[in-house]
Amino acid sequence: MFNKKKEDEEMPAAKIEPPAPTASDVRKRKVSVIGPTLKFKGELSANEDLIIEGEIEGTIAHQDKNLTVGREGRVRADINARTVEIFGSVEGDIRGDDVVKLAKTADVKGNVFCSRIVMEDGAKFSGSIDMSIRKKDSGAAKLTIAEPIDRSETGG
Amino acid sequence: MIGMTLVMKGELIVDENLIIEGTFDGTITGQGSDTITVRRTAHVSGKISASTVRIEDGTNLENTVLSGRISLADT
Repeated sequence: MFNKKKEDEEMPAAKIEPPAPTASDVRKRKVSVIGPTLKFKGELSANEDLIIEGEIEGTIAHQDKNLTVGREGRVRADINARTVEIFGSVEGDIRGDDVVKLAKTADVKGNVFCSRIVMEDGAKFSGSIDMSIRKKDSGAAKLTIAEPIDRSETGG
Repeated sequence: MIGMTLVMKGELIVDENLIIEGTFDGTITGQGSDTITVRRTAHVSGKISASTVRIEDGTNLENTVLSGRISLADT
């Protein structure tokens, strides 16, 4: 009995993965999800947040909204969005008007244009970073390295 | 799920259930025995081919070819 308590104290806290978003969650958050089995070739634009778990080839114009490339997402396109979060792979230039976040699972080949960038330890990146663009309401550019990314924002 | 403000032009291949609420211009091909649901807010033109295509009452379809098992549904 006492041993069990001791074990509990010594055990590190279990890491709880956020649950995958349900259909109602998606509806409430006004998010579109390109599912893992979807393959799309062409032009894509939206005025709502977008999560890509599938395969996209072409152009993504997503100004003023947030775009997430999920862990299973594979994008061969230039991306233009307010906030860009990458957990999967991207081949193409990324322009984030606010911030670009590369998770440790990210694999990016292309140039990044942004005012702020967050690269988690382990992220693969091949290209250049141009931080000369400025957010509409902010001042100087800022570089942050190895800051953990909150997965719960992406809903999985 | 293709949300209401999403605009897609091109070719989409899907192997899962899909709901379209936004604008799609092009070809959608369902590879499995899945259902593609076109909501009344959607604007679709082109070709949809799937095992089951479910069209909600009042949906705006223009120059669209549907193939598969087509069902019309009240919302």
